[in-house]
Amino acid sequence: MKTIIQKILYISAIAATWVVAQPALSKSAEVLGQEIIEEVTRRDDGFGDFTSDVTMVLKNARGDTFERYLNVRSLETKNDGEKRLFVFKKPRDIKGTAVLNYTHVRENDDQWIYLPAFKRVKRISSANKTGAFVGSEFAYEDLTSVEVGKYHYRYLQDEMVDGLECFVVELTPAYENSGYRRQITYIDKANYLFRRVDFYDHDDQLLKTLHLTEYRQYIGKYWRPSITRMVNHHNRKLTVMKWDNIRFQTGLSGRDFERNTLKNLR
Amino acid sequence: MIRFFVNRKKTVLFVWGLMVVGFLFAITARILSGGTVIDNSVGVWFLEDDPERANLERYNQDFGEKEWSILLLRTDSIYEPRFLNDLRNIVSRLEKLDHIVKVTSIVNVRDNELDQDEALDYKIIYPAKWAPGRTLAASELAKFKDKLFANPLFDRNIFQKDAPQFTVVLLQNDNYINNPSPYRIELVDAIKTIVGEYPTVKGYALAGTTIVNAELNRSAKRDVFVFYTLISILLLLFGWFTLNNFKDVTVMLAVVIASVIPTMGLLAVLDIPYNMVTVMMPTILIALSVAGVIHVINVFHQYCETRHSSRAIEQAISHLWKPNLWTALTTIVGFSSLALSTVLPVFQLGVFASIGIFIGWLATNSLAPVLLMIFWGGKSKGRANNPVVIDAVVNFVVAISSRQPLLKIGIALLTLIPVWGVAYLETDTNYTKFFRESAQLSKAYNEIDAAGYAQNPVNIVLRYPGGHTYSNQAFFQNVVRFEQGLKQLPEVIKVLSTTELLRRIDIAFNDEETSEQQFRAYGANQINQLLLLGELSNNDDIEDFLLRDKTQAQIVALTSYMSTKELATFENKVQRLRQQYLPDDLELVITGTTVLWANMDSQVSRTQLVSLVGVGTFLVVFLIVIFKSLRLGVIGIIVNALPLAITLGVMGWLGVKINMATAIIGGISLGVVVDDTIHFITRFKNGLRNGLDFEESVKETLKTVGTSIIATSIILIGGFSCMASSDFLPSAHFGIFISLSIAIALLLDLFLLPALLSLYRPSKTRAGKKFFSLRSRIETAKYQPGKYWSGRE
Repeated sequence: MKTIIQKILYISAIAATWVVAQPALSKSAEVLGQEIIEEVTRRDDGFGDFTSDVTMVLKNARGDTFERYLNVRSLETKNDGEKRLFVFKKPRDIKGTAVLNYTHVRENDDQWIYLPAFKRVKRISSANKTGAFVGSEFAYEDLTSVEVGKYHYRYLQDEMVDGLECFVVELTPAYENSGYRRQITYIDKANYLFRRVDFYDHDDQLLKTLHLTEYRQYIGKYWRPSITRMVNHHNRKLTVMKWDNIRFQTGLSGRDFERNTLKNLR
Repeated sequence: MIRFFVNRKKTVLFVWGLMVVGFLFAITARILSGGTVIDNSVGVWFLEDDPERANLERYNQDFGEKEWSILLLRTDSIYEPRFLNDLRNIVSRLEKLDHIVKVTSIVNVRDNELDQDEALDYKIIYPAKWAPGRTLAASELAKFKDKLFANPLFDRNIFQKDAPQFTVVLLQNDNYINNPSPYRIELVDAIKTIVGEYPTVKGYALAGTTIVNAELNRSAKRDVFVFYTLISILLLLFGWFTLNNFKDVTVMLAVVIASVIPTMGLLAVLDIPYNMVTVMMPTILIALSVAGVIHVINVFHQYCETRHSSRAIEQAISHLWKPNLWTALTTIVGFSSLALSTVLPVFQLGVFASIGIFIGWLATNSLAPVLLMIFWGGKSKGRANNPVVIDAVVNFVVAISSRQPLLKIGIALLTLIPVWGVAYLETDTNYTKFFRESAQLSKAYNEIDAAGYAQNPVNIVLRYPGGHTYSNQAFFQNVVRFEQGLKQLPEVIKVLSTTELLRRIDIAFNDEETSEQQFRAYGANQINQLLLLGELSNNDDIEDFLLRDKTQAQIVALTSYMSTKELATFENKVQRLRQQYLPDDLELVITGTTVLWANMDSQVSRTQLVSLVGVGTFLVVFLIVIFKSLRLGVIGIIVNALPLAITLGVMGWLGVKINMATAIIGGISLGVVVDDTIHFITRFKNGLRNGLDFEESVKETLKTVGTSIIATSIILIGGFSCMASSDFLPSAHFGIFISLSIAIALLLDLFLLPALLSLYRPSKTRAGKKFFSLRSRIETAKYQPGKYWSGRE
C-alpha cells in the first residue's frame, strides 16, 4: 500500500511541476523566437538605402516563362518599414511604369503608380496585402521587410537547410488582412539570414515556399540573396527574382521617394 | 463436338464455373476497391488523338482546368438584408468546397473603386464587413445598389435590374477532362445541401456542363441498378412464360450468366469504367444471349418426343450450331460495326458486346447441352408444353400462312408509310433535353432560361501570331470590333473578356469613360500599363481571360443552352465575324465542354452511317452466301431492312433525334432482327430439301421455329424495354426503338416472310438444281411429316 501511495505522490509531483513549468516553457519558445528575429533585424539595421536591378521570371504550371525587368530602390525608414520604388524597364510597353511603396509596420502600406502612357500618377490600394505583386507568386507582404512588431514569434526547433544549421521560427501575423495563417522560417545560425520560408494559408495548408539563395555580403555588413525563388504549391506556378547590381548607401534620400518624382523617373 | 462436351459434363461445368467465379471475383474486387466504376468524365467520350479533345486540353493547360457553373437563386427580393446575409454565408461556404476555384455573386463581386484614402482598389462592392448575423443599414444598401447598377458587366450576369427576385452565383470549378472520380456528383450535392439550408432562398436552379455531367453519372448509377433488377425480373418472368418449367429457365439463366459475367469481368480486369453507353451492355447481352439458347431448348424438346434425350441434344446442336453461328455472327457484325466509331464508349460497346455474344454462343453450344442432359438425361421425353398463347398465335399464323400472300404483302407495304418520317430524322443533341421534363436538371435549365440568364459559356480563344500579343494596337482594334459584333448576335446574352475588364480599369484610372473611338485607338503602351495597373490593384479576374504573356486571350460568350445544331450555327456566325474583323494570322478556336460534346455529334452521325452501310452490305452478301440463293438473300434483307426503316421513320415523325445512344440503333437492330429470319429460312430450306412443298415447308417452319421466334422476340422486347425506365432519354429511346424494331420484325417474320416465301416457287427443275442434292433426296424418302429432322436418324 505504501508503495502505491509513494507512486501516486511521485506522479502527482511530476504532474504539478509540469503544469507550473508549462507557461515558462512556452514563453521561452516565444521569447527565443522573438530574440532570433530581433537579431535578424538588428544585423540589417542601418543599411540606409540600396538599389538593385531585378529580373523577374514568371513560370506557369506548363513551364512557359515570361520575364519582367525592373529597378528596385529602397530607403530605410526609422521604426516604420521602408520606402520602396519599383521602376519597370522591360517589356518595352511598360517601361517607365513606376510603383512607389511606403511599407508600415502595422498599418496598410501607401502605394502610388505612375503610368507613363497616360502621364498620370494614381494612388492604388495596398489594403489587400495578399494580392500578387505584378502578377508574380510574391504577395506584397512577402516583399516587405520583417519588422519585429508585425508578427508573433515562436521558436520551434533547429533543422538543417541546404547544409546549414538553422533555427526554425514560426511567425504569426499581428496585422489584419494577412493572406497567411502562419509562416515557418528557417534562419541560418551563422549569419541570421532567412534561408527558406513556408507560407501556410488560412486553412493551414502549405501554400507557398520561398527559397533564398546565393547570399552575398555588401559593404562588409549587409547580406542580400541573389536569387529568391517562390513556388506556389496550389497553382504550381513559380516566380524567380534575380537580384543584380545590388548597391548599398548610394545616397538616396526621402526626396527620391516622393510621388512627384515618379513622373521624372527614367 | 457435342459428344465431346456431353461426355465431359463435369469438365465443362468446372471450366464455365471457374470462368464465371473468376470474373465475378474481378467485378466484386473492383467494386469493393473503391475504384471508379462509373465514369462519364468528358475525356471518356473521345479517343486520345481526337483533335477537338486536344483543343480543349490545350485550352485547359493554358487557362486552367476550370469551367463555370450557374446557380440561380430565387427569393422575395435580392436586396432584402436577411437574404444578403444568407447569401454571404452561402458564398463563404461554397468557396470552401473542394473543386470550387472561385465564386462570384453580388455579395463578393469586385469593381475598381476608390477607397477612403482615394486609392484605387479592385474591391468587393458589398459594404458589410464580414460578421455573422450583421445586416446592411438602409444607406449601405442604397450605396451597394448604386455600385451594382453602375457596372454593366454585372447586369444579366449576376443580377438583373428589373428582376429583383433572382440573382446568379457563378461558380468556377475544376474541369478535369480525364478525372474519372465522382467529384462532380459530390460537388453538386454539396452545393444543393448548402443552398437548401437557408430559408430566405425560395428556390434554386443549377446549370452547367459540370451539373449535366454529374447528372449523367448519377443517372448511369441508377440505370445500373434499375436495368439489372428489371431485366433479371423480366428474364425470369418471360423465361417462365415461354419455357414453362424451372429446369429450362435454369439452363437459360446459366447461359446468360456465362455470357454476361465474363464480359463485364473483362471490363473490370481492364479497368474500363462504365459510362452512359457501356452501362447498357449487360442488358443488351442478357437479351441477346437468350435467343440462341431458346432455340436449342425448344428443338431439344421437340426431338425428345421421338428419341432419347442424349440423341436429342446431339441432333439439336448439330442442326442448330450453324444457324446459331450465323445469327451470332450477324449480331457480332452489327456490334462490331460500332467499333469503327471514334466515340470511345460506342467503340467499347461494339468490342465488348461482340466478345459477349461470342461467349454466349460458346455457352449455348457447350454449357446448355450439358445442363439439358443433366436435367433431362434420365427421361426419354422431356417436352414441356408451349404456352397456350404462343401455340394459339402459331396456329393462327400457320392457318393463314397460305392465304392471300399478295394481300399480306400489300398490307406490309402500307407499313412503309411511316418510313417517310426518315426525311425528318436529324442528328442533334441538346444535353439539357437528355432528361425527362420532370427531372431536376431539365427544370433548372428552363427556370434559368425563363429568368433571362445565360446557361452556357462558349469559350472563344484568340491565339496571336509570333511576336504579337493582345496589346498589339492593330490586333486590339480588330478584337474590340469583333467583340462588338459578337454582342450583336441574337444568341449572345453577355460577353466577358479582357477588353471589358480593361474598359473598367480605364474608367477607374482616368476617372471618366473614354470614348469608344479613343479606347479602340489605345496603343500597346496604354493597354499594357492599364493591365499592369489591374494586376497591381489586385484584379486577378484578368487572369481568367488573358495569359500572362498575352499571347492568348479568351472571350466568353454567355448564351442560352444551345443544341449541337444551334451551336454549329452559332460557330458559323462567329467564324463569319472572324473573317469580317480579324486578321487571317490570328487563330480563333471555339472550345469548351459544350463545344466538344457538339463536335461529337458529327462523329455520331458518321457512326450511324458507317454502321448501317457496313452491316447492311455484310448482310446482303452474307444472306446470299448462307442461303446459296440470291432471291432468298433479297427476301431476307427486305424483311430485316423494313423494321429498321419503319423504326427510323417513326423516330423521325416523333421528332426523336439521332444522338449518341440512338445512333447505334441502326447497326444493332439489323444485327439482332436478322437472327430470326436466318433460323426461319434455314428451316424452310431444309423443309424443301426434305421433300416438302413450299406451302408445307412454310407451315412446318412456322410450327417449329415460329415458337422459338416468338419466345426470343418476347424476351428481347422485354429486355430492351427495361431501358425505357431510364431518366436518361437516349437510353430510354434506345430501348423503346430497338424493342419496336424487334416487334415489327417479329410481325414481318410471321406474316410477310411466309407470304414472300409462298410466292417464291421456283420451277421443279430449278428447285431441283438449287436445293436437292442426292443426299437430300435420300433424306426425303425418310421424311415423316411433323418430325422434321427425323430423316437424319
